[in-house]
Amino acid sequence: MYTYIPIECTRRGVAAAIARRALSWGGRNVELNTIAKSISVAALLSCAGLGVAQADSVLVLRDVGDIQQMDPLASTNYPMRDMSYLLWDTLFAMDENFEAQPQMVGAYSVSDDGMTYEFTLRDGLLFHDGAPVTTVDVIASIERWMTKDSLGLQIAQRLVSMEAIDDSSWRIVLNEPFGQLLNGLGRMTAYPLFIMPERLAKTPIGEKLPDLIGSGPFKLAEWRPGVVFAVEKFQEYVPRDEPPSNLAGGKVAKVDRIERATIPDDMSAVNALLSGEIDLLKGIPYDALALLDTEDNLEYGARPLLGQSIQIVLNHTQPPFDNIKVRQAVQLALSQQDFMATLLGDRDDLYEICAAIFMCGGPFETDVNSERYMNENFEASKALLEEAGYDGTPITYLHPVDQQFQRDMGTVLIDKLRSGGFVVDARQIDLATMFSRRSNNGPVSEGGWNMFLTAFGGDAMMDPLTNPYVSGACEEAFVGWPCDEELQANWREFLLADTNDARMAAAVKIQDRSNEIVTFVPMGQYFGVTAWKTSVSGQIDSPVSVYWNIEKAE
Amino acid sequence: MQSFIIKRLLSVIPVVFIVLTTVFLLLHIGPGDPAALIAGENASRTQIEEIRQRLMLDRPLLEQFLIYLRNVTSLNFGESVYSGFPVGMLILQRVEPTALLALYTMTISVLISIPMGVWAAWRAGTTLDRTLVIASVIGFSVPVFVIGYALVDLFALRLRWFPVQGYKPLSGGFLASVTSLTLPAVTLAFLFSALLARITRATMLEVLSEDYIRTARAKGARNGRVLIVHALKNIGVPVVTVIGTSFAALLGGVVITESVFNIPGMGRLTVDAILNRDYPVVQGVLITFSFVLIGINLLVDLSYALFDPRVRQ
Repeated sequence: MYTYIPIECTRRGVAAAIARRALSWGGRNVELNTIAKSISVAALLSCAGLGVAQADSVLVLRDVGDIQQMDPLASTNYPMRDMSYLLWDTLFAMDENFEAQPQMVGAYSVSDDGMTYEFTLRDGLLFHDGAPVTTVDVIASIERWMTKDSLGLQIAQRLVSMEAIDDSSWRIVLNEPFGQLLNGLGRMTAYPLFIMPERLAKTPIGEKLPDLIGSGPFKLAEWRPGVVFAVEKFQEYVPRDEPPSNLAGGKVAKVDRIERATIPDDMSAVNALLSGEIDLLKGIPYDALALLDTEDNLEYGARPLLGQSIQIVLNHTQPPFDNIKVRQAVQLALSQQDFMATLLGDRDDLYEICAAIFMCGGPFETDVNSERYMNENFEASKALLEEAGYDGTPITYLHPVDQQFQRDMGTVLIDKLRSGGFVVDARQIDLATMFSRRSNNGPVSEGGWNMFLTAFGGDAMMDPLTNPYVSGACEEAFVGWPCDEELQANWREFLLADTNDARMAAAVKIQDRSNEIVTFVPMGQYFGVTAWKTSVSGQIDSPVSVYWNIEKAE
Repeated sequence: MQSFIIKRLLSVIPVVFIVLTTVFLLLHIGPGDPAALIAGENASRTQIEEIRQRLMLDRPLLEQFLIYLRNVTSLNFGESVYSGFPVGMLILQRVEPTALLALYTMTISVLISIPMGVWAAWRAGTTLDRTLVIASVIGFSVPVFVIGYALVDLFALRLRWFPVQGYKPLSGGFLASVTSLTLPAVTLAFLFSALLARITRATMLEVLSEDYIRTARAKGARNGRVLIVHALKNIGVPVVTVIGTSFAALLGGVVITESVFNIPGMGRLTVDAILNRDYPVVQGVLITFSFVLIGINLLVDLSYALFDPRVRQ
């Protein structure tokens, strides 16, 4: 069971301090003193009762969002993905240079023609129920993943066979060389390939997994949606020997239990950190950072790997954004600086004005064809709208106002667009309505839309194969449905490239074309701040929230 | 009395049916698509459609309604479309903190407000009375999150008497549980004490001007007897009504207070489910609320009989 441990009870002697405090509160008043003595005794008894819980090292953390479902292929929900990394291990994993390194795989080989791969699992891999991890589980997990993930689908299209050689080895045969295979098996996000027992991997996506038996360094202890998701150290897990690097290397569980508490209110979460009730806080509001500066026992820092980026998404299938010049006028009307300043004020150390659609600091960073959105120019926007024959058709902008981020960014966006010559019809809705409405590509009069704003993590945006905006695949593309043969060809060139140089060259072409037809408008890159107690150490820099390797000093 | 109870119970049936129908229609006609939410950020339309079929959201509305009625009448609220947990279990998990918080709040509120209201009415027009009126206006007007954060700052961060946030279940010890609910209960008690004190004062003033009070005084009854024996019992009906509706409101969830203090109660469950369009959970929660409200109203009605003999007749 989840056990709340008051901070007073987690520190040696603090229960006695409560007692002293209660007694001093009573002062000379006999009646008050009686009550105070009762409180002091109760405080001591209360803490004594929790003594068992103190024996284990427990890391209590708060991250943004909640875990409402638990099937890593059923949703792109980040909190679920992060916890999935604790429960399930992966065959390969991305290191800090975003290169796939073996994780559950001990050894592998590639044939000279680049079409046959043979893999062998590391020794000693077990599921949380004690059963060994075998190739039957691996193949079932890969097959399930290939039905959902975009890179998995590409692998499936090239798959000739995938068969077990023995209990720990298997072979994949492709019909053409495909340099993305290992990257796929070590996919970092949307959707990672987690290795589950075969019976879980046979569950159709969308149906509830019958249990959450995993292969990772922690096993499920307790899950109450909206309250807590807790995992315990899986004693039999065998980590790799290499030091941790992003998601690769040794996943060493250094605390006995991790509790991910759901604390919906940001300020309550900050207060919980200040009072010591939680050890680590992600998604700290920027205006609360000053509160931490005076605390000697707390530290904070920006998550350095890539961060997040904001995007303006346009519906290519409906007027007026079916006109490329009107879309380009949007680029001219916007300024990343205004968006970032609205979000982060004067904390310019926490954001970056970034021309790259694949993130600044990522392996495919380039500033090609970014001049329009890097240089706000209202007059040029108006001139382009006139040239495009824009007749003042209102832009139906889906503006969720139930989230501060969306509310603030949207307000800036509306003002900029109006200054740039657009007529804006902002529909104030909640986020859930935006999610459902944006999948409608019909006319506005039939529930459609023209524009919305969203944000993706750098882990998704950094790579043309995970960046949702750049496929140009028409009906099959991400909402907004950009449809462009040249972009499709560029994307395919990237997919089939077999060297990093060739991939970079293709990525430059993709950015060039994507910005030309305006698949989206990047509005800046920012870095979430994490705060932690000084007694907590060993955090790993990663776009994913990684909780192995973290130590907590008593 | 028996026929009174039977009549009240029978009147519940159409109310429940109206509630069930309204809940269903509000959810299914309103904007928002759970399938799109479940599918996630970069899901294709095909994937969304598959989920819609699995959840039977592609069926005609009438068919969905009949399935829903059949399930509800057999007390089957279904499963959360996200976690897959039974809705009944999710509700039960949230009942304990909500019920305890409501009880704690109402206990504090009643203990403070009724003596204050009675005393203020008895001393109407004095400084004490005016002070109470001003205090109750402030208590009623200041947003609960302001009071909540102020209490957290003083009693949790500075004095460290109570935890900042979180709820400790009763299974972890009664004292610890009560301690974790003290700040939220006191926060809410500001609001409900103010309300109850004003109602008590106003009702008591009215009662004190009645003929039978004047008669009691004329017969030489002492002040204490006039107040307790003759007046107090007659403020019962309006005060109990307010206590009942306040208690129902607390059981229905106090979302802001639950969020500020991170209490996993019914309010947060409801709001999360609505924002996620988790239809089975929303339906289950609203039906539970409606039964609680009906039950409390019934108890309040029955309590009238205790205070007013005319009702018993």
